Amino acid sequence: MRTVLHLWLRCAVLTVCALLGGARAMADAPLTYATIEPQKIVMGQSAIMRITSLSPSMGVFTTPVVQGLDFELLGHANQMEFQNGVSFPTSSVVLRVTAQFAGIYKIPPVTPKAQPLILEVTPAPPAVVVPPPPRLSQGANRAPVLPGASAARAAGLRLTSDGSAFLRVGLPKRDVYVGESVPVDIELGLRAGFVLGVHGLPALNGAEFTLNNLSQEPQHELRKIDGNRFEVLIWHSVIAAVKPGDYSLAVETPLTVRIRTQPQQESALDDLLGDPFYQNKFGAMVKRDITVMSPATELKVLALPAAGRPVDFSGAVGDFKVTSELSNSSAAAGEPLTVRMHVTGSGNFDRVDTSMFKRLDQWRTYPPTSTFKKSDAVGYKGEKLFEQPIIASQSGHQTLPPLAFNYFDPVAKRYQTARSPALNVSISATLANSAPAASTAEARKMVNLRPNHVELAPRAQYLTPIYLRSGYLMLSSALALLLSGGMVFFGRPQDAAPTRAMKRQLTTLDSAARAGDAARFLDTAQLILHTALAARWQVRPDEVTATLLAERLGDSEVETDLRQLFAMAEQIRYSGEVPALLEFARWNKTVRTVLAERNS
Amino acid sequence: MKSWIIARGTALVGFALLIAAGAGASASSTGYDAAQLYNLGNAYARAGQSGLAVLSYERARLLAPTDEDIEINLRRAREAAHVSPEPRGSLELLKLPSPLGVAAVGLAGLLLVGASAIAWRRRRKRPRLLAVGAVVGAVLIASTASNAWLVWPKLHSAVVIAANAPVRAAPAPLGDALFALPEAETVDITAEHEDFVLIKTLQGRTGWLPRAAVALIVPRN
Repeated sequence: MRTVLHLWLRCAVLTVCALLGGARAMADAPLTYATIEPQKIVMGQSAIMRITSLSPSMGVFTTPVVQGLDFELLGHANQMEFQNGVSFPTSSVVLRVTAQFAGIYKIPPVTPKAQPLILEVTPAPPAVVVPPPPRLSQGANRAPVLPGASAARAAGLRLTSDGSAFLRVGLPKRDVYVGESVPVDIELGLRAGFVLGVHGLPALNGAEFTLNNLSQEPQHELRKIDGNRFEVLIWHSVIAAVKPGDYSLAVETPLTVRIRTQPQQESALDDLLGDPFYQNKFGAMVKRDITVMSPATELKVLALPAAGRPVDFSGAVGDFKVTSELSNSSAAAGEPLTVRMHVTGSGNFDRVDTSMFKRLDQWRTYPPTSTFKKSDAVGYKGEKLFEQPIIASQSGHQTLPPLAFNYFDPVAKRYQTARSPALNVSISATLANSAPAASTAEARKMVNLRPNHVELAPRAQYLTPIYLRSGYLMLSSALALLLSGGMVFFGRPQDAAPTRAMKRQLTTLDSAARAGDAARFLDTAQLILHTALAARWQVRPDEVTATLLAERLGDSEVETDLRQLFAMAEQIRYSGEVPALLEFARWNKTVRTVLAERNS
Repeated sequence: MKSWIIARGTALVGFALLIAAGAGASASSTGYDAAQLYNLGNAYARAGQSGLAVLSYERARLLAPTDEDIEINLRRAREAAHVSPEPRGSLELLKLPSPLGVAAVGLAGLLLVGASAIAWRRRRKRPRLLAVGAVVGAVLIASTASNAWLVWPKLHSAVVIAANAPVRAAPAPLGDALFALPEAETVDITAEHEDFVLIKTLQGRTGWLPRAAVALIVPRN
């Protein structure tokens, strides 16, 4: 029993010693190893090199130097690893390795006992759409392909090699005629977070077709393809073939995308999370300009048949209807009318022209105008309106012939003619001789004009002359009123005062006449007459003397009476002799006559 | 005292009139310039747009009534468009070169007549001189009135700017056309109804014309 116990103790001691010795040996030279994934890349991609040391710290680390390879330090990491229930602290360094040239590179070992790493870099393939390889099992050297690409391919989509985008052309038919407009839908799918920019509109990759009326603002849709979110831009357009033959049709668009370079294990996690943030976590994405191209679509372009082609066929292919109307059902000779022709339907409206108006021989016409009102996004369907001014040269009931329009019907595969009914109009002769014929602007151009003025005149705010503007008229009226008021005010001081005194003197004159008081009558009359004559002669009343009276008084009857009246007044004043029979009424009338003449 | 008030009041009104006259013809960056309108008329005439040419010349003539170039080119534009010549009266001789001058002449005439009358009322001296002053003032007023008489119709006139504009019996687009007016014809606007104006030609013919076919010589501000 003791022997067995001793044996167990010895073994235990030896085991502990062995473990202690091994640990000491590991502490002296910690295990360090390096890995690189993937070991095969194409130009433009990167590989991730990880250097791991079974120690808490990496210690001094030296970046490998290999000609043609760039090493970029992405970061350090410390973690614990468990093996058989025992934990080991480890540290690691992550590097991005990018090749400058294609070839096989040998990366020197990180420790003398380790093996060198081999990295194989192949040239980059053309950046065109290639069918994505089927999804491989975990652990395989997986190419950068969208998970579940097989489902996308089943849906008619061809993803780019990195699964970031797709382009598709939707065509309603495969047999088309030369010049025929065929509506197309172009879908560009951009995986969320992978496409950095679209650098152009979709364009045809050949010269056999023309892409017309591409909508500048595409429709936006969000689709989930194979569990990944795609933003789909949809352009509506029409294509037209320019020559007969069998051709492939494809469109392409330049893009900038992020390309993944993440090793397989981490990509699996990224795909699982589906978020570019995780995929970009360790710098596993690089930018790259690519051109995404749609799968080629085979088209058969047929030539328009020569048999049965109308003479005035303009190249319109589609399905059209024609109606027409007149702006007025009656007009005068010389008065312009407008014929409106509506062409509705679907097809290449750019080839719908005005050849039908050439049949209006009996009418004088001017160049027609046209407007197009599309009823879809690309102008494949709509209405084209032609307006043709016409002038009747003869009066009477006139008939506009039916307007006919020839086109090729691709469904019926033959030429068709659309006709509008004839239009009747009544032309009266009212204008026939009233107005001169309308001359064109060209004919009325004048050349014999006086030259331009080079000196500019002062600018006027209004065209209406100032003397007809209300402000001027109001101010002029105000001035006229002011002057009229001035006349009244200026005239009154001189004329009003004598008038009031005169009234009193006339009252005295009347009372003296009624009383028969000749002395008072003559004295008052002399005073009144002096005042009146002074006003007439523009002198003061005291300046009216006998001498002045003798000079100024003439030989008229009134003035002779005035002399006699003044003589009687002087006789009474100086001799006191009163006339025996004084005719008061006569002398009163003479005084008032002189006053009336003065006031007038 | 009263005469002092009257004299200064008259002077004040006269000064206000001169200010208003100056404001009406003051330099403005947004107003009308006779030379520019004349040059514009020349441009239209050379382009064969006789209606707009006549319209521009008429507008220029409002600002420079005696400008010979405007008068001649306006006549030539009318002749080229085969429209009726403008009737000329004896009052044309009384035309003054500028609207501001016409306004000033009228103002001076008013002041002269008023001053002569007041002087006659106040002092009856020098009656012949006062009579001459009053007559001169009356002539000046008559000159302004004659200019206004000549220009007044232009304020309501318009020029046909469309070729062969149909004149209809009713203000409706489907009305019967009575006759057609040639471009550059001058008409009087006597009434308006929606998109039509009632016009009267120099020959006395009337009818409704689309508003877009004519342009007023003096646009409504």
